Amino acid sequence: MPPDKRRRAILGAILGAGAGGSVFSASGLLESFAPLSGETWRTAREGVPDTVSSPHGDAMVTYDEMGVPHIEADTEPAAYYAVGYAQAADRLFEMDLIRRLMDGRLSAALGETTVESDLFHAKMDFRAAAEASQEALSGTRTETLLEAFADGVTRYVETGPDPIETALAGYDIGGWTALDSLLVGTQISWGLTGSFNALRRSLLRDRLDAEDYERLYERPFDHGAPIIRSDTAGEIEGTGPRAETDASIDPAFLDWLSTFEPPRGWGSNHWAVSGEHTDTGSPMLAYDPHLTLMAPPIWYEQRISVGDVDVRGATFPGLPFVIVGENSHGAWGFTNTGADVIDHYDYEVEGEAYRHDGEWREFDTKERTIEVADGTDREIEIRKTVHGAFLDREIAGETRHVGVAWTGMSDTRESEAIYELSRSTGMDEARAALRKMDVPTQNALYIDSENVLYEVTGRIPIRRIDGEVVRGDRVFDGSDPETTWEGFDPYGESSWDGFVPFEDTPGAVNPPYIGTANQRPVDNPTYPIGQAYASGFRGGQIYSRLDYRIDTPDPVDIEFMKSVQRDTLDLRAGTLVPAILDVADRLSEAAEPWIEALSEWDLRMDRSSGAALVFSRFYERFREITWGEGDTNLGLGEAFWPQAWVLVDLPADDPFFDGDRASVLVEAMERAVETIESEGHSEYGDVHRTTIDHQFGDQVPALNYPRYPTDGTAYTVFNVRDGADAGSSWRQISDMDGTSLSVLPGGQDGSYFSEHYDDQLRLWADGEYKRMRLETPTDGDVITFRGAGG
Amino acid sequence: MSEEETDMTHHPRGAGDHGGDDGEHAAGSAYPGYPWTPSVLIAIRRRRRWRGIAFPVAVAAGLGAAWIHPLGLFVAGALVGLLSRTIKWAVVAGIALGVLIAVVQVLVVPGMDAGEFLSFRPPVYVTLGAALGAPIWGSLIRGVV
Repeated sequence: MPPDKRRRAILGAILGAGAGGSVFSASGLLESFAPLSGETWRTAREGVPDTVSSPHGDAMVTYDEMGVPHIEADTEPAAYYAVGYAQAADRLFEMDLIRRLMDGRLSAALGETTVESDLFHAKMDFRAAAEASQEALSGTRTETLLEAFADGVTRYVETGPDPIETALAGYDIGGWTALDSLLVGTQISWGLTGSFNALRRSLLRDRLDAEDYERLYERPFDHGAPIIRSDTAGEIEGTGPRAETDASIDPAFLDWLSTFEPPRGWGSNHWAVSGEHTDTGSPMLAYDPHLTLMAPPIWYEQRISVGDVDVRGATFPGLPFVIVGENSHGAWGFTNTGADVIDHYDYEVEGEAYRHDGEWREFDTKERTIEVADGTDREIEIRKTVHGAFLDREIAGETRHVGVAWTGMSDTRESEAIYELSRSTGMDEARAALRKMDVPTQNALYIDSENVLYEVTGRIPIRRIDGEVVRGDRVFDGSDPETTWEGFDPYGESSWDGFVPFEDTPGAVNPPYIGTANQRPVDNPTYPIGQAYASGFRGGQIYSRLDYRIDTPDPVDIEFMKSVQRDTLDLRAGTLVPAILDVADRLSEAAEPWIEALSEWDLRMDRSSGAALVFSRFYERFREITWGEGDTNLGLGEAFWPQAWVLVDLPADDPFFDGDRASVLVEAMERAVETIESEGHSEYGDVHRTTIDHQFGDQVPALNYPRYPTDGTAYTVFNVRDGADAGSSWRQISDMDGTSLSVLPGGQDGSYFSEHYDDQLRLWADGEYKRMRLETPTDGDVITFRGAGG
Repeated sequence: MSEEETDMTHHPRGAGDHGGDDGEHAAGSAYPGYPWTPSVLIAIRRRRRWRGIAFPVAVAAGLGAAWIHPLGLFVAGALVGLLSRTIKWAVVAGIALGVLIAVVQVLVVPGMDAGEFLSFRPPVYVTLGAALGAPIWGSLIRGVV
C-alpha cells in the first residue's frame, strides 16, 4: 500500500469510516502514531534547523516571546527568503491548503470529498487570473521578492520537519512558487469581494412583490452614520450628483454556487483620530478585521527590518509582504467596502457557442484534469466568454449556467501595492501605493505622524444600459455588448478605462477623525459603489464614542482606543429590549427572572451577563419566526433573509409580523427561555466561547482551540459572532508616538505542540493585547541564514 | 559464580515456570522442554548480575528498534521478555518498558508536556495502546523460548 494511501486510511479509521479495522488501517495507524517511530511524532520532535544556507544572502530571524519572527537582513531578497522560510516553518499546511483550494487541487491531496470545490475553482480558473497578475509583475521588484520568498518556502519544505497535518492526511506538500503566492492573494480578493448576491437579488425580485422587495432590500439603512458623514471635515472625494433587466434563477443552481461563495458577513472596523485630538499630538489608529476564526489563525504576524525599511504587522500566510500594520513612518488597515465588483450574465447557448453582440461565438475552452487521491480523476472542460468564467451544472436533467465577470480575474497589482505600502514613508507614498491596489475594494485608513487618510481602493466597474449608469445587482443579458465592462480583459491585461477613477471613489484627506465598519461609504457617491453594506450598528457606535470623546476636554489616548475596540454595546438591544419589556405581562412565569435581568441590563454583550444570554437566544428566535415562519414567511433560506437593521427597524404592524409584532416578541421570548432552560445555561459566557476549530478538528479534536468565554456579537464593535466562526481576526492599535499593540485569536505557530499554538487566545478572548514594537528581542530563538559568502 | 548471584537460590522450582519437563535436552539448552533456548540466555536468566547488565542493553536496543519502526516495539518487548526469569516477569518487564517508551515519547518532543500529550486525542490512544500493548505482546515470546 503506498504511504499516502495508507495514511488516508488512517484518517478514515480515526473517523470511524475504517472501523472494519483492516490490517492496512491498523498498520497505517501505527505508521503515523506509534510511539517514537510514528510519523506524527517524528515531525513533532524534529526542530527547525537553526542555520540555513541562503542563495540570497545573510539574514537573521529572531523570535520574540510570542513567536513573532523579527527578520533582519541587508537586502530585501535575503529578507524575503527568510520570511518564506519562517512562514513555512509556522504555517506550511495552511499555506498549502489555500493554494490548493484556489487552484482546484484539494482533491489531489484530500480525495473525493473536495471534488465539487475543485470543479468550481477550476471553472473559475483562478490560476489563469494569478498567471495574468504574474505577467503584469514581470520584471518588477515585487516579482523578485515573490521569487525569493518562494525559494525560502521551498527550502523549508526540503529541509524542515513536515507539518503534523500532512502526516494525518498523508500527502507531500511540494515546493512553492511565486504563482502560489499570487493564488493566495486571489483567495483574499475573492474572499472579500466574490459573491453571487446578484443572483439572490434576482430570485428575490422574482419571488416578492415589488413593494416588499423595495422595503426589505432596497432602502438605505437610516443609521445616519456613513463613513463620510455630511459634516465630515477635511478634503472629501468621490461624492456628488449620482450619474443613474433579469433572468430566471434556478434555486438549486444558486445553492451549488453559494457553496463556494466566501463566508457571508465578513467585515471589519477601523477608525483613526488626528493628532489634533490625541494626547500625544500624533494620530492614532485602531483596526480589527472580522474574518474567519480558525486554528491556526488566518493572519500571521511578522516584522521585517531591511535597510531603511522597518515594518511590522500581519499578512496572510503565503504572502511575503505585511498587509496590515505599521512601519516607522505610518500605520494602516483595511475594511471591506462592500463594493460590487462582480457581474453575472445569462446567455443563449447552442452547443459550443453562445450569443453575444448579434453573433454566435465559440467558447474559449481548455481541458483540465482534476486529480482525485484514491478516486477517479475527472476530466473537465473549462469554458470562458468575453466576460469571464462560464459556470455550468446539470440540475434535474437540465444544464444551468451563468457567466461571471470579476475584477480579480484580470492582471491585478495588489501584491505590488502592499509591498510599496509597507515601504511608504508618508501619506503621499501610501496613497500612490493604494492607487495600484486593483483588488480587493477596501476602505483603506492610513495615518502617519501628521496625517489621516481614508481611501476606497480597487477597481469598480461602471455599468451602463442604454447609456444610463446602473447598479450591478442583477443578471445581465450576456448578448448585449453594452453590458461588457469597458477596459476589462478577463485573464488578460486590462486598461480599466471604463472603471470608476481613483479620484472618484470616496475618500477623505485629513478629517479630524473617521470610522469605518462596512457601512455605506457615503450617502451620495458619484458612482454606485455597491449594495452589500453592513447594518451600521458597529459604525454608529464607533462614531457615537468618538463624537462624545471629541466633545469632551479629554484628548483621545491609547486607553480610549482600547475601550472602543472592547465596546460590547449592542444597538439592536437598544430598540428591541424596550419592546420586549412592553410585552412582559404576556410572558409565562418561567420568563420572569429573564425579564428582570433585561430590565436592569446595560445592553452590553458581556460574558457574565444573564440578560445578554437571553437576548442572544431571543434574537435568534425572533429572526426565525419573522422571516422563516407564518403566512408571510419569505419561503427562502436564511441566506436570503434581510439584514439585521431591517428586522430591528421593521414597523410593529408589518405584514411579516402578521401585523402583530408583540405576539412575535412573546413567542420568541418563550422559545428563548425554553432553550436556555433546556441547555442549563445562566450567563452569556456559557454559550459564547472561543469555539475556534482546526481544519482537522472533527477528526482530531485536540487540534481545536481551548474554549474560553468571551464577549461581543456580530453587531458589536468587540466582534465575535455566534459560534465564533468569524470575528476580530487581528486587533491592532497603532500610536504614532508610542507603543503599538496587537493580538491574534490563537497563536503564531500552527504546530499543535508549539508553545505558540494558542498562547494569544486568552488575551484575545479577554480583550487584552501584546506590544507590537519595531525592536528585535535580545534573547529569542534565532535562525541564521548564511549566504554564499557567509 | 557464588550461589548468592543466582536467583535459583530464591526460586526453588527453578525452571518450573517454563511448563512441564516433557522436552528434550538439546545442544546449547539447559531447559527441558525448551530445546531452542540458548544456554547463554539461560545463564543470563539465572544470574542477577548478568541480568543487571543485559536488561539495560536490551532496553536500549529495544528503544532503538522502536525509534526506527513500529515493529521495533514488539522487538523491544521480546528482548526484555527473553531475559526475564519467568513469563510473568516477562510481562511485567513488557509493561515497564511500555511505560518507559511512553515517557520517552513525551520527553523527546520539545515543548510537549504530559498533559498536552494526553490531550492529543484520539491519536494518543493509538500511541499509548501501541506503547503498552506491543511490548507486552513481544514479551510473550518468553513463553516459548
